[in-house]
Amino acid sequence: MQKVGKISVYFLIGLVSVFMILPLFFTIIGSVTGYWGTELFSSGWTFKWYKEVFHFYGDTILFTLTISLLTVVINIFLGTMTAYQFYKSRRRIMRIFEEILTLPISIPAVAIALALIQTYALLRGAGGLILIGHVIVTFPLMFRTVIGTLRTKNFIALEESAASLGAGPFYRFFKVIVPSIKSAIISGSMLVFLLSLGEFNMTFFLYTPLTETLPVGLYEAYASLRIEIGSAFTVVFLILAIPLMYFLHRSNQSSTFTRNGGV
Amino acid sequence: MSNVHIHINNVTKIYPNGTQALEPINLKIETGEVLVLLGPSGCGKSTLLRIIAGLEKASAGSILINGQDVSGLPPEKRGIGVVFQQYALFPTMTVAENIAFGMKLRKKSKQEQNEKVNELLKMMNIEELRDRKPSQLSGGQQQRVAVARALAIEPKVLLMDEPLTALDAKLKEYLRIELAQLFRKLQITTIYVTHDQVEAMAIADRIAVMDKGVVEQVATAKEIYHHPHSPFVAQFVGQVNRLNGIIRKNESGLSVDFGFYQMTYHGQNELADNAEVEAFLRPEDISVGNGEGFDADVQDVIFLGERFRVIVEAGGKNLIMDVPNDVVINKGDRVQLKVLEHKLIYT
Repeated sequence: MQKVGKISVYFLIGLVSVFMILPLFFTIIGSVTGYWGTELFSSGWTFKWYKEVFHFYGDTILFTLTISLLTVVINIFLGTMTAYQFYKSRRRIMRIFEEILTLPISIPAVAIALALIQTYALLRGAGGLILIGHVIVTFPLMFRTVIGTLRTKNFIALEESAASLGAGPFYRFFKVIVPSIKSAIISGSMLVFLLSLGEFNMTFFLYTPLTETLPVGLYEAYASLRIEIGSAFTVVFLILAIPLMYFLHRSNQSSTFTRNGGV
Repeated sequence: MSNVHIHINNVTKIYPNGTQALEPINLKIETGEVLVLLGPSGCGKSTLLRIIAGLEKASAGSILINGQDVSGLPPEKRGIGVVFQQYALFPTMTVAENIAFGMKLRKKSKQEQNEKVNELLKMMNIEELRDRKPSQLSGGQQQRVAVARALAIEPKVLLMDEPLTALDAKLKEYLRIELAQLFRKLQITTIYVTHDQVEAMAIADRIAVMDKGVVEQVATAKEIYHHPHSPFVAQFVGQVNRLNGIIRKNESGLSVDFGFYQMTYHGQNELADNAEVEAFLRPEDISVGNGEGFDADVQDVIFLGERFRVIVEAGGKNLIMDVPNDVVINKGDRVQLKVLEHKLIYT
């Protein structure tokens, strides 16, 4: 009876896994097939769709990576410093501000895009608006990750002991606090990078032909070009995202270990 | 020996919500002295320590170190070493890096840093821990590293905020002797905060007993134990029996009637006949009478190793007394007890 139960659990897990992985499998197949028709592989294998992706969307990929990296850098400073100031503050009103800062998670990205266009329309041209939008949307991830880690230990005591040994405010923050929450900052950065890389809803309203990002290009590829190019584009996107997801998983595991064996 | 003395002048702390954590405090800590701030939780002792360290601002008053007002200086400019209750060792640094942290900031050469680290590791008996991270250390080892780190900057003053509280009883007992010996050896001006009176007595040159933001008494451990200035000090430091009596005037002078026993009044105050008086009596100042004293019924006998703690009832009043462990005394016995009259404490 127990064996039957075990088998049915494995069967269920297998079924769900296949259900989840199957679309990815067909995307990969689609990206290397000559023609996506009724009969798969009837026209043979090819890598030409990848060449076309880099030909048509090379700049888009570069622009997206630039935006995502800048979003990460800005959020490392903004998110970490803000989180630490909130962590240190004993004022109750800061709790309300904390909720306000994490609002972008619950507001539809379209609404943020429209608000940004209304407020900073002039910045739209060079992609500045996309960068601001990505920073706003991803800020809560960095902030929440860092403040969550800060609240697991008494970092104020660490800062105070550094101060008593002669360290000024900047030295304390960058040489004592930041190294102690390094794993949280790395996790937050990866989350921010992944979210920025895949952000579509808001970017769709903010992009111009010169400031197109990867997910917008992907949509365009599916909508106006061939499904094979769209598939190749998706695989390129996954090649960028999957290693990061793996490292994110690893860093979460190691930060959990640090917390358990911490000081 | 550090040549530093501290003046605490009218230091007051009122929190924004109106809570007065410290009434105006005036204290002088002499050169090379170890002053222990002793009191229950919330009495303001840690707040005062944090104000001296510069980690909290006083609402009023000033802190003078060697006559120089340091009240306006941030903690990093005060040159005061602090050992915190949770040690607050830097988790990403090794023991040696933790100890060298302050020296690095003072731009000491690598060689100087190394020499000092080695000297402190040796002094604290933790040479083998040099390359370990704080997470690999026990509580006692972390405490030693925290002390070494604070001493490495050759501080003008050393402040210690309940450094033994997080440790188990046996280790605490061992380390307080070690710390007392270290203080005697270094002769560094030290302010040490604790709520543990045994720790205070073992370590202090003088003790400042605090309650509700007020320093009740500053004196040596012996003075505080034998001559407390207030009922709070009498009851907080050591075990004590609280007695209420009435003054009786007779030809031979004044005596106090405690109901179960009447004895000569040895207090300093001039009291009228029938005046009410409060007195305190240490458990060790009651002994078995052998034909003199008062009768009492033994309620309970607790074995404490080197002595028995005995709870007796005399004239409706419960008293605690300590007797050596070779005295035969059992629950339910009726015993005759006597009091060392001159040991009675009148506050």
